[in-house]
Amino acid sequence: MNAMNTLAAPKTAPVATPPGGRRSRWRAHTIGNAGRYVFLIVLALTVVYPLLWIALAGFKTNVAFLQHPFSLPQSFSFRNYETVLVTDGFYKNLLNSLWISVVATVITIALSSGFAYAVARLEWRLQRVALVYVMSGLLIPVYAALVPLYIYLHPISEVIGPRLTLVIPYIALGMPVSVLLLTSYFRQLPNELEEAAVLDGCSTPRLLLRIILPVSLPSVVVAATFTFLTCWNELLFALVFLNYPAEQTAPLSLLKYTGTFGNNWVFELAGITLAVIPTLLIYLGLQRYIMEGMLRGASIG
Amino acid sequence: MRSMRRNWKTITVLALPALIVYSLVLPLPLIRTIFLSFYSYNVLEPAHFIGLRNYITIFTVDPIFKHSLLNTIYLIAGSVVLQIPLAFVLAYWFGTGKVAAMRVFRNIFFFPVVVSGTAVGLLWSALLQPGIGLIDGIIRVVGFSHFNESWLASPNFAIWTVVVSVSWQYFGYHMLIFSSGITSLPPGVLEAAQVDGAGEWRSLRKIVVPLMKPFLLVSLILIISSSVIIFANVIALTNGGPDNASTVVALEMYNQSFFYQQYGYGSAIAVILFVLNVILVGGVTGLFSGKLTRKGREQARLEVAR
Repeated sequence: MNAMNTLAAPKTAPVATPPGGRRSRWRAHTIGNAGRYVFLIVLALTVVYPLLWIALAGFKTNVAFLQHPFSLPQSFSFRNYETVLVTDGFYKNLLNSLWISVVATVITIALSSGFAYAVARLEWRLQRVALVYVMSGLLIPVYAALVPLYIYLHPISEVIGPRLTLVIPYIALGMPVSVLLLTSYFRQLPNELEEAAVLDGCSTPRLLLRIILPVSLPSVVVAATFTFLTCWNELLFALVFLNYPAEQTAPLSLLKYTGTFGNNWVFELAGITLAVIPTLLIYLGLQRYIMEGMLRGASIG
Repeated sequence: MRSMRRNWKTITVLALPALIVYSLVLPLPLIRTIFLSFYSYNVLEPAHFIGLRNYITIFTVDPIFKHSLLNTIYLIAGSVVLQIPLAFVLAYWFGTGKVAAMRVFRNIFFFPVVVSGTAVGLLWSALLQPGIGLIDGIIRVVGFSHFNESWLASPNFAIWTVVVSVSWQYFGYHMLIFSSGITSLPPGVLEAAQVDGAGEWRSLRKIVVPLMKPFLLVSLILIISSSVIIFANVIALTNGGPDNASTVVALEMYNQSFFYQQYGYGSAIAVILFVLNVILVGGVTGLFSGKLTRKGREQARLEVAR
């Protein structure tokens, strides 16, 4: 069964038939039920329809869109999408986002899993204090660290380039939640796993890499998806660190459309659609991991 | 085995890199922010200590900051009103098995949560465009055939467009939190609450809601701490306009620090942002903890037993 069931409701017992007035009860029940579905469908439409509307608008010419903003496009021409992606170079921004998010996620998971293992399975003084210290990052609004980070990282950015520099603050976004997820998972692992490996003369870092992490794959995926999405969507740090269009991330590049009304509506709407599509694909593929990550991230927040 | 668990070399190799990197990217810069907030520091002159003057200016002179603080409070209040009851009802329906295709609805409602705030902001700026936007379009279809409201250009409406768009994006998140809460309820509670008719409201209010308090608290904390730092949704939708009418604290911090390049002044706003978060989160946690929750739990247990 899908792991979503852990989040979903348990099967509930059937409702007892109320005594007397069975018919009117039934009628009230049906009307209530119908009302409930109407409500849910309308609510679902308020989510889906705006997204569909911009996707369809991306197929229209600007003139056609301004004349009939709500009609179906007359033909499905990908010209606007092509212009945004290739001519305007939005594909570069998507690749930048991908590169920065992947590097930040890999580093965050590497650092977090080592730390989480040391806290969950090894014995040292101050291990609780260290855990609380890293967890406290959940209470600190990361943007409160923005100005000093900018001042410190500006010289570094001239050496390693702004995109890799941006990875550094992004680690702060992902680390507390990743540490939390991994620590609680590592704690549940049986001792036998490590004992066998130690008897074979396996070193601890090797043990972590070869045995613990593969066994903990579900929680690693949850932590990685959470970190990736947080970085993929981040705007303020990117705005401060990335100055040139060619190095910008996708959300930052979209920002050029704010306040530009009139002649490039269809490009803007095509651009938003192109930014939402990768998120939709990730969502469709990794939904249960995303939901679990968001839930666990929230519950200690 | 014991020696393996206490090998300090291993512990250092595994734990230290994370601790160092983390300290460098979050706690240490935060301390530096606090220091900077007592300085006048910009591109024109070298930094010099001015004590509390940044804070005094922020609270007494700066009219835009007052706006941003007020708008952040509106955002929190509006988000609570628009999202929490809706999310609770949805989670309750889904949790009691009253809805077929529950998973489809839930997956749709949660999707905007993972979309970037920038995309959501821009999407809503399109929806709210006078004439061509979807919102005006719907209002015209409903019957006001010449309806044409420039929502985003109105100083009174602008912040509420932010509230509505943010709530549209995040109600699914709170639905998920409440769903997990309802799953964790002791067995029998939902059946008791589900008895149709007059009993349902009463048992919901008396049993389910008190038991859900820890999850309500999580939602409230999440709304507060995300509203305090909200940035992308605002800059993409209204850019704080018209004329700063819809600006928020994080946007003010950004503008002061990087648009006017007043690093000291911007840092002072960052400190206020941090303190605001601590006070509000501490406040609701205090309100929810202790007697209130314990009493609710006992009462719920009694009602279930009955």
